Amino acid sequence: MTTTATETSPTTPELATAIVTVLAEIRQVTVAELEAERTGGDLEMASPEAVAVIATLEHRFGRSLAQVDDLEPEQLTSVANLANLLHRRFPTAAPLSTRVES
Amino acid sequence: MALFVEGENVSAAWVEGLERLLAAGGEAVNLTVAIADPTTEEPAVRSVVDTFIDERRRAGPRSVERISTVANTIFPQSLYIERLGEGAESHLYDLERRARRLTRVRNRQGTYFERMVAWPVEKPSNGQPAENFNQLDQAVTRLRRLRKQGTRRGNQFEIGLTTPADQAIAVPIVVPGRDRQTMGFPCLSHVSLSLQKGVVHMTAIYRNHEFIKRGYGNYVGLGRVLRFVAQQSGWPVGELTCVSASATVGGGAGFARGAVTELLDACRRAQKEAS
Repeated sequence: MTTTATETSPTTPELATAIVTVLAEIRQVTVAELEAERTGGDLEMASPEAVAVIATLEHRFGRSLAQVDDLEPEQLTSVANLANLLHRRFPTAAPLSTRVES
Repeated sequence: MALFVEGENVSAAWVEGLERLLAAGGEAVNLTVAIADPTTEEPAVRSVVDTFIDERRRAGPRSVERISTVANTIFPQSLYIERLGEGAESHLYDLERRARRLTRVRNRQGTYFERMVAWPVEKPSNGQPAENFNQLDQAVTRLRRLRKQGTRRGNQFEIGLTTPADQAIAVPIVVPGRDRQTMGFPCLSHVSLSLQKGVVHMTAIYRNHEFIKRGYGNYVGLGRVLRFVAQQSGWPVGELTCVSASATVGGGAGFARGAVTELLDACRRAQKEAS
């Protein structure tokens, strides 16, 4: 898995696919199972799942994709919601290594 | 004077506790709440309390946390994939480790769950890097061992906060020297597990407890920890007793006595309609 920041922003559907892939690993189900659930609609997720997904994708893309306000539970409700959020954040996201640890 | 409250489930115990706290003038010392089955709730009551909190969050998003958020800081249930059996334990720990840095963006001092599974151990003097200590895993491992031995009683888990890595099955939360603030995190000081007659019980100690803002979610979260430990070690779930050295109904905008009394009345109505 790369930790180098990519230059081009993924599209929202690409981010949604990436989210589903990580969510499948978290739930220990196949991507096909999740895609079947998602067909014709969105896929809900719990806040801890969403945080784990974002953390995984931040590592993959080498960027800090979420800010404090993004982590409110109302923001982290579904695959579509999260894909839109990350797509908005991606162009201005700082490299992961610059985030100050608390 | 101490208050003692009993309830069959989280909702019943919390409503009873709220009523007793209000009757005591809104605060108490040594509020002790015993919950016979801390893994169950009354959906009608939960709905009333969720609505009350959501209304206040709309006015100020960080003025109060959702019940689910409070519970998740103690145990992130959605990351525990029960059908994996014993493998669910390591999967949960892996996910916590992966999400820890990001979790700390919102919870700068970490979460209670982090402290249970990654207790910060002092850096050793021999130059070796410090390693976090997983107290929850130790509790599960020791309880599993007792089950294999056929031992149905274990009080040897009781221990203080200072040497968790050496002797504890208990779960200390406060980090000496680091937790200097007197308000806010961490209010949960200690979690103790005991095995009696083949059943795992839990006692939790809070130094201070804001009953409306935190109480319900904390009981839900602690019940999940107890269920996790019992399930992973193969023992039945027992009761949760939560002692709050200091307890208050809670204050601030939206939590005036009139609003809280209305909340209590709505909970009692919901219980009556559901019964």
